[in-house]
Amino acid sequence: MNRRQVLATMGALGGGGAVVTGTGAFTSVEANRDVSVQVADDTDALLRMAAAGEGNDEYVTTNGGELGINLTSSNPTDAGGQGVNANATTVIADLFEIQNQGTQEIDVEVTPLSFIDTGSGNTLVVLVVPQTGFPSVTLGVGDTETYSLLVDSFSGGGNLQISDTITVTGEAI
Amino acid sequence: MQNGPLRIEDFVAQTDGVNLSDLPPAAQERLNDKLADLTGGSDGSGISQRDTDGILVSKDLDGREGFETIADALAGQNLQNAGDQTGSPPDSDAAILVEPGTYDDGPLQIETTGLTLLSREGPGETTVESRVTVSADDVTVAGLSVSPPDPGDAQGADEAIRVDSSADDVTITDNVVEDFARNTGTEFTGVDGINIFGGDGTDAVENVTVRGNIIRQLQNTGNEETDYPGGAAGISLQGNVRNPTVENNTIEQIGEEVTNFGFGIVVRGTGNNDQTPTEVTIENNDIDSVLSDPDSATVGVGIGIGLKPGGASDVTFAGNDISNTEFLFEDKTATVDLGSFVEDNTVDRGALVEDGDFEGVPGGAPERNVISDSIQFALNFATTGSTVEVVPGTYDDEKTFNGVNGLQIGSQDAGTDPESAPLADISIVGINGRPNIPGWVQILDPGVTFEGFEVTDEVNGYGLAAFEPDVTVRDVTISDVTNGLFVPSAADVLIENCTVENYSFYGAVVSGRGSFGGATPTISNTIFNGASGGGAVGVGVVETEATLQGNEITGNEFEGEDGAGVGMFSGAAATVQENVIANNDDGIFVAGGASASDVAATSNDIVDNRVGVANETATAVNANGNWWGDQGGPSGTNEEPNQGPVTADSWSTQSGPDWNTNGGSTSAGATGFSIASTETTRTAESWGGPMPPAEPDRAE
Repeated sequence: MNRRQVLATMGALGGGGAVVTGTGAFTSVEANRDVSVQVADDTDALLRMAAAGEGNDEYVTTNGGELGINLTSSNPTDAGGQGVNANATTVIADLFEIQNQGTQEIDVEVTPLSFIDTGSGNTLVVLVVPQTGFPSVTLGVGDTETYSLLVDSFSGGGNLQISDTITVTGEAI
Repeated sequence: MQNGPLRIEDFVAQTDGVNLSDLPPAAQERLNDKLADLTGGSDGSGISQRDTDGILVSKDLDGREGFETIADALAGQNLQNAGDQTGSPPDSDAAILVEPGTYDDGPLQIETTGLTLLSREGPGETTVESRVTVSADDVTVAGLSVSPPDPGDAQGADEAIRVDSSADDVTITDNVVEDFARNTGTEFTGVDGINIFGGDGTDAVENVTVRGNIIRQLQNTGNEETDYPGGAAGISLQGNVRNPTVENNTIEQIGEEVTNFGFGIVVRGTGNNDQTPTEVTIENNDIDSVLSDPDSATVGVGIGIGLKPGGASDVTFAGNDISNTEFLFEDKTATVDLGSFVEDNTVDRGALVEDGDFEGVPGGAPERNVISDSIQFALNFATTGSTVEVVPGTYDDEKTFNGVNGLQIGSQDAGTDPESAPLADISIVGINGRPNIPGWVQILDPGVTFEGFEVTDEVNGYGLAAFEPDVTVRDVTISDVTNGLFVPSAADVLIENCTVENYSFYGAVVSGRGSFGGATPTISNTIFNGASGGGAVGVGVVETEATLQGNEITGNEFEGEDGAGVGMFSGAAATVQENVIANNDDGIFVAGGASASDVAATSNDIVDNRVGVANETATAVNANGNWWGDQGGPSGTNEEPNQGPVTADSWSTQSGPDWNTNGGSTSAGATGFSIASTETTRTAESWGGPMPPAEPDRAE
């Protein structure tokens, strides 16, 4: 079992800005809300976790050997983006991947796959979206599953926070 | 296993502690759009190995393990594609995921604690043609379209979704209840979209949430040979229900004008016990078109409460939007502050009646607070001396008289039979803005105050007509009329702070003719803008005395020279003070038959008229102390001198409001001589303008 930690927060609201969705890089303009997703260190060599290398690697960090996903102002993009837009759905496609580096076929499951925070008519949603199998995926030796992140803030956002833990389970079939 | 794009429902089903109802519908919609982009696959096959970890119900199992009906899934029978297994009832906290299709499974009874009954692709794709009843705690019903068949007289079949048996913490969310019609049966019974039924007097239904549902197109005609067998309600909270929340629902087309009565949302008791709901929250619902059969004795109600005494304080209303219902709100406890209700909620219009008299009216409560869609209808329940407040809106379907919409306040016989004047001393007051009546107004009972409205049409030639004493018309704009106001010579009649514009004949007629006379009506601080509509006379006075004070009377002309700001005709006398009378043909016209000795036109601005004062009589009119537009006195800036005998010994040397008598008299005092009256010797031209029209007929 490998434990991963997911943290998402939303800070103060700001002006509107552009949202780029779909594959490719994400650029935020004048956004000052933060969504932070961090993944803790994985010491199990059977599973490799890494940035997917599809253009959104800036949101993936490594700190002390731990893989993290950070969309907050503490991890601004090179272009200055520091968070997601209010009242918008932000798609960060192909963000990270899990690879079976073991010696046998395994089932990989990430739980939970959704986080919701609500307050004062606002909601903040983070979905971890697997590419090929839901909710779990079978990975042969050397196979990889890629995960995207979908973040929705509605309607105006607000001082919402999501702080939670996800569990990644790799179990031999 | 399923293929196809992921939906938010999949994530909800996978995640403990997350409910679909936590997500606003708009957020769900755009998340599903993005999930379709991410997981739909280029060929539409979508994500593979998709096991939603729920109990699958599908019309097309295609080899997958699951049930073909919801009823089978609830009973755990007829499990398909599971080898030797035939199924078992769902465990607590299980999720039944229903794929698109129409399910006609007979009544569905949910008795499993924590069960979620959830459609995979929303109510647009998933229809349940039967009643859904929840009798267990912590159940969620979400994303279904529920359209039960005609219940006729079948017991318990008249509610589309029902929560009962003291079930707690139930959530009914994101469903559509529609096309639920009872067109057979002869018993008195109702049709409810969602009913939270606390039938047990000792164990309440607690903490139910009804959120984000659409309830529409409910009707209850019963057998066509039966008149009015019952009503229809979008959402009904009944009996021993504690702490329910009803929010963000859309409720529309309830009753459909063929039903005895209707409610958008109703909070009421049951016949099972004497409990009524407590700690009720009704917020942010959109309620539209709750309309009963126009021939029935009862109405459609947006939100109605019928609680035991004191119970109304246990209900919170906020953020609801209510429109196009006969009563937007009805409180049978007669305790809800309607002014606060309209501040906290939005109504498209409404006349507020507090402590209304409903004696003999169906519904069992002789005293009620209601917000009526119609002012005229509200007046049926208003009591003598009460105040009916009216919120802004267009009141275009009040009373029709001579083919024109209008408002009749009081009885035709009020003048001869005081008992027939139930609206005596009533006040009808626009609040929070100015309600518009695109029609006429007639005041037929004494003591009426009519305040804060726009009146924009006429009947029998007048926009607003009063016929009784003690009437006050205040802060009313009257426009688009032939004649603006009919003011009777009756005791203590007051017109003040009004505006009369876009009139083509008289702005006001103050009349002592016929059955009127002997009093001194007052018109004060009112604007008569003749230029806006080709008006001939601003204020005409006939057969009575009148007081005209503080008014602005301008632009009244008739064929170039025979209009007047103020016209005094036969038998008329008036005190005309502190007015601005400008740009008329005659500023003040006194006809030959008027009582000129009783005319006092002092301390006015009489400027820029063709003639300042024109007097046809042989008796001088007192016109001292006026500002004539020039410190030199008459005729000042008026085109021609005053005509006929007009006394203007003194005049004001400045315009109002600081009039004085320094002109003329000051110089006389300085010399020690008295100067003669400056009566004009110029004979007044004969009046060629229109005579005051007769009083209008009373509305029937």
